[in-house]
Amino acid sequence: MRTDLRRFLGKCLLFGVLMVLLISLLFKISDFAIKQKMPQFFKISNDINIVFAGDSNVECSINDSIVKGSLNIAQSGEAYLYSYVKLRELLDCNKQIKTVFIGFSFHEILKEKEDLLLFQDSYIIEKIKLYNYLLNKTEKGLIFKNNHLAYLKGFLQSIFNNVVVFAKSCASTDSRSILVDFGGYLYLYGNKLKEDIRLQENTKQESSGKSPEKGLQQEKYLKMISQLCRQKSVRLILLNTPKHSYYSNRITKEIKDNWLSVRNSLPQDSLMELSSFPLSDSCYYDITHLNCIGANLFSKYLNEQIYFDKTDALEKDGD
Amino acid sequence: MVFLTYWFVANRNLRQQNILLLLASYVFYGWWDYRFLLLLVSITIINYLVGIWIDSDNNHKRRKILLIFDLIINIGVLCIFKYFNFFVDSFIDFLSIIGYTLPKSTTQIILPLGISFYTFLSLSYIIDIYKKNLQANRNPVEVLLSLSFFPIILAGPIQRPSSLLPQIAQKRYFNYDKAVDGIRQILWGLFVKVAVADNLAPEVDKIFQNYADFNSSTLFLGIVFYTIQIYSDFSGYSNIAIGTAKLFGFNLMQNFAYPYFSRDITEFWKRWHISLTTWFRDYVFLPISFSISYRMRNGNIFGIKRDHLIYISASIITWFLTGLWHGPSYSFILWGLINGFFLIIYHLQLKQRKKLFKKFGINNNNIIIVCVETFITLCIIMLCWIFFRADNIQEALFYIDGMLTRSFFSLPELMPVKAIFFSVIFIFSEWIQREKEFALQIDRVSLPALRWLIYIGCICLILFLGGGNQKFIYFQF
Repeated sequence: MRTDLRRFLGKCLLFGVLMVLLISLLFKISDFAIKQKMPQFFKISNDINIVFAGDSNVECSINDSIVKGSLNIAQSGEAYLYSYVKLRELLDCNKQIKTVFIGFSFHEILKEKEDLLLFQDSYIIEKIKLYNYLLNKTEKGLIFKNNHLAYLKGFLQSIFNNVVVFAKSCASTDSRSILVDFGGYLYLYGNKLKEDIRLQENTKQESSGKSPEKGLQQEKYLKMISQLCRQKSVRLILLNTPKHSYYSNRITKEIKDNWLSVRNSLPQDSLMELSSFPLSDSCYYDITHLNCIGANLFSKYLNEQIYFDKTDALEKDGD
Repeated sequence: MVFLTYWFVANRNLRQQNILLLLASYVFYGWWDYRFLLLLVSITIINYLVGIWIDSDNNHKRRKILLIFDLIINIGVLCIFKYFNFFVDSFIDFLSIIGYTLPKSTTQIILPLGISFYTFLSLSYIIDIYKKNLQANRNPVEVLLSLSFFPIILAGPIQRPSSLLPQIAQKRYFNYDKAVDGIRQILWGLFVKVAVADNLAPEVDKIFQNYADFNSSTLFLGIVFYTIQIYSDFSGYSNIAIGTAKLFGFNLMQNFAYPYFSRDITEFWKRWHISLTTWFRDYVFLPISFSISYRMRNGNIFGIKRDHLIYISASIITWFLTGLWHGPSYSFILWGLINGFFLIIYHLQLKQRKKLFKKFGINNNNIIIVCVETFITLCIIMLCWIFFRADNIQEALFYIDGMLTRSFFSLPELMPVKAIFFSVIFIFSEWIQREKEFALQIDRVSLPALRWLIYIGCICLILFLGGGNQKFIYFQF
């Protein structure tokens, strides 16, 4: 019996070692391959000199086919850390980019939001899968330290993702078709505003008791985005996209103060405070996201503003 | 860790092996919520004691009283934890229909994990003793272990103590082939759960949550996905449980036998969640059938044959309870009754079908007949799953309504490549391996290197392409 047991354990051990070696090898190859191709697929059209980054608020609000010469790379559930690493690579490869818009909604800087976007299992797995090859040791360490299991899961999934991106980059030279999971305008059809308001009403009591805390990592990486833009001589504009009045009315003074203090720590960057941009209910998908009707109207408006360069005037209005 | 301790430290005698497994079972269960461990321990101790009392008493009346007492305890606990909110809300709804308005209950009782499973284990233990099919075991460790064995405690298979206890009472010796088979079964279970079910889950959720926004073909795709998801999710867990038990030297019953390849609904229910359906057959359907047949006179009643009437009545009660077992909601009950309805229809047409086939000289095993019947059975099952998955009956009806429009013939609005890829791999593997206990039983592949390659392929698919963190669907039951 003992011999059988030892044989069984020996084979399991051998199998385990083989698996670890194989995974390490696959990771090294895929990582090396993708890094070789990176300058090629991060090079976007020379006509594009404006980039929109951020989370789902920007993702659903800006239709980059309407805003001339722009590219939307915002993605749902994106923390500033991921926006930073994406921008770092994009700005390195594209000297023609002159302006970066970064989502700067009231809730974005909250600790609650940071815990969700940066350290929750499903977000980590999804983002590490997509962006592991863009992260440096410090950035990986931050995530790993806080949730190592989710990081490992995302890391394993990133191997296959790297292979896919690499294969696409071999087959095509169009960066938009290679970086399909890199973010972009999300066309939302329909309107779930009433349902969302009903849902918010039901959860009202649960959330009202908590005092808002600032998310330190979110703040840190927003500042790093600002620094990066300055180094690259790119203009950074903080963009607070339109929100439904139901949402705006529920933003407490403490949240606004937090938001303002972060904004004031970035005096060299502009702000477009358009959270109360006048839009009818039919333009919203839910209380914080625009549907395609709203995105069309808002993108047209933004296009006019950008090309008539009224951003400074807007900032004064907002403040 | 338990595996190593079990075979290296506790292998000297049976008692050590059982104590270690019992402790491991309690730690495993208590890990989810230690408070419910107390409930599990209390229930199993009560059943252990009542089992001895029933067994040692020869007075029929007293035995019956003890049985009823135990049934009340077990079913009572199940009703309180699982059905309390449902019964109270239903009662309030009923009162509102007849004009009395009461506020909705705000008490929300948390459902202990696996309660339906271990209650059924306990019930079968006591009923078997009462019927003298099983002798009460005096060894507390063995009885408690048989009612709380960790691989089966959360979601089955509902391995009856009558078949588990003899294995527990015998010392286990390590068997290389059995352990390899067990680990292979665990791997297959993980593959179907993580790679298949978890990749389908987000697509199914998306379609069912926004069914009003999608065209008919997408809704159809949604139910096809759910049909595969629920099977892979649940059979995945069963495979993991059975494989784990094999590592410790136990043989558990097969819980799924490729049910979607069934020719008719009766065959489907003989292959789906076998441990539950046989439980209901032995402890509900047959006793009810016998009980009715004793009370019913011979001849036709309301123009229906006596045998048919017995079958119909017993089926309705059994399937009502099967639906209710799955959860405290009307949609589960209706799901159960719809299954019962199709089983009755199938039962009633059997003789006529035979006559018709004979008259026209049709071979029952004709490949076209087999394919058509398998397809029809699958459609019926998918229809039933809509009620199982939807949040309520109204939603299920809207879903079906949305599925039956002209856009059924247009292309689906969603084409999730990963989900389709894994579904195809899964169905294909199941089909070619349908004679085996599970699809990864690849003994006939003589080259060890090729076998290892298949295992590595499975693990890579799990690790690199596995879905997100999804709970097992059957944990909620």
